Amino acid sequence: MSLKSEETSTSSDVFVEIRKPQAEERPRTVTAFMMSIEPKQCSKIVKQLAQVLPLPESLAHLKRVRNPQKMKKQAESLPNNNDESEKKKPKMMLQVLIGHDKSVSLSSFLSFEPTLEEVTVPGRPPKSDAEWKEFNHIWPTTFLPLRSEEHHEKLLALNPDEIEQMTNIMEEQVRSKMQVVVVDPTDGRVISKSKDEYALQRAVGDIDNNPLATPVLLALQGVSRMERQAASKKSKDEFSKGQYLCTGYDLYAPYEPTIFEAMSCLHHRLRRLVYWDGTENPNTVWRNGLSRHYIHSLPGTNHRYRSFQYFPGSTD
Amino acid sequence: MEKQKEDDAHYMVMALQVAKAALSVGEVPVGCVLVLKDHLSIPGGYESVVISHGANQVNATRDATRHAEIVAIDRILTLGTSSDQMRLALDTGMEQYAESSGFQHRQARQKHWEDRWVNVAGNPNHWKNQFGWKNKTYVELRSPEVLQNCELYVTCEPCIMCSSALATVGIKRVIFGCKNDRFGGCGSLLHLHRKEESLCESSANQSLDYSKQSSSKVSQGYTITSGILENEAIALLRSFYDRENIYAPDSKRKRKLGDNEDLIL
Ligand SMILES: [Zn+2]
Repeated sequence: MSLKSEETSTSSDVFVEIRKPQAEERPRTVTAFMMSIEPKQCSKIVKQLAQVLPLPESLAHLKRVRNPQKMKKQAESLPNNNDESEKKKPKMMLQVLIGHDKSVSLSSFLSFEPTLEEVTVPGRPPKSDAEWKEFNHIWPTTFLPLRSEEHHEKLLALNPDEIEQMTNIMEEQVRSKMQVVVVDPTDGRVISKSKDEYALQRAVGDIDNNPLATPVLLALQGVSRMERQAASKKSKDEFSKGQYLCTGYDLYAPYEPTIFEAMSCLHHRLRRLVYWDGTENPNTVWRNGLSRHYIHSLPGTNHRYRSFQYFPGSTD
Repeated sequence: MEKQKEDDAHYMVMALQVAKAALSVGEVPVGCVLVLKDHLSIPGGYESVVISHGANQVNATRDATRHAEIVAIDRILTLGTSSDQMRLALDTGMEQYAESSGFQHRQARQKHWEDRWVNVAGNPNHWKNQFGWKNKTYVELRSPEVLQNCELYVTCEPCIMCSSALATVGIKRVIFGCKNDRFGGCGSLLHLHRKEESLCESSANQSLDYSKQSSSKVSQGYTITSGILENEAIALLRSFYDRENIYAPDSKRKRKLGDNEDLIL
């Protein structure tokens, strides 16, 4: 795919992803303490340290041992200047990372009294392959490409097919008809429409009397209706094959959901929510459930969904 | 003060009773009663009256938003248009539940399901026992404004969805048993019972025009009381989840574990 996306953006211009601002970015480098040891002691001491003094979570991305000679060579990147240094080679020492705390007691398993030296180390896991290489010049660092931010962003980027589907649904189903719809993104089929469900419920009761019967809720209930039909064996579709609530489905709304509606979507296991901020309901409370309260990405809840705001003007 | 404590325990016992009825038909046992207190529209010299009640109907309606609180509100305002009236027949609902959990649905069928869902059996203070469905008083009670004079007794802290729904209808007070660590909106995760800060007070935002909302409604909040018959509520929930775990097939258990792993990443 030849998408020329900016490296850090998961949104297109037309669909802007609603994301909670990152807490505090962890600093690129931090100070810690290390000690120097002879190579022959290394494996024993590292083993003991792993037991007695494992690296804290904040340094978990770092390797325990550094070979300063090797680091130096890397930095100089001169392959053939070891002739001279071989001659007056100082005693080779390895450096072992201890942690943030200078006052730790190591005497219980060391046969010598170590001197702890301050050292600058990378303060967080590398975000990309390039940064990993830089970090390795500071202190040997572990890099898990599949967990990196760069890789994560790539996976999140919307592809042109998705953008086309999202635009079509927004224009043809939502903006022109002012209704909420739930869509199966695998084939673009509209599964449920708030206006249809409104008519069905209006026929059996006074739902206008209930301020909680909002278009987003009605669209979710349209999906439940299909699941019920499958359960009572009145239909043969994906619901009879085990489709569960809105799993894998996307909801499109002409307005931004309230906290009440946004959390309803979370309970319903929605995949994505796309809204156009073109209408407002002055009679609801706790509005802006996504852009202000980030209900779709609450920490600790059992499910999350992605949400996007639609900016129709930006197409041309 | 003493009177309120007594009242709270009295109505929480009823909420627990509703929750137990839900357990017997395979729903998560959370129950609530909606109580109108010291209000002119209460006839017959009663100080307070239960005007609605609800338990989880998530399995029966295949609708994950039909929590006890939402069901109770829907019942009083619309006669259960989006809850009771949407339920699958008990046989259908239970058959599938039985498949997934091993629960004996025959057992549940004998429990007078229909009546349990619309009535707190044997309670003379319940509006249905007092007034019946079609009574004129009941029709008056159906105004959404009445909820502003109501207190809700619920066995477990309302989730974020229900807490904001209760703010939307302007409930006066909410009394709950145990906390809801995973989803709670009345203190655990969010504080949706508090007075809402008006949007125009927040700093000007370049992408969203908050000024257009300056005249619109904000929640005035409601008082909460927690910990009423807490242990009973916890015991009831535990009895449900223990049963789930015993009967869950291996694959289901693994999937649950998988979900958690996702969150850790
Ligand atoms: Zn709830």
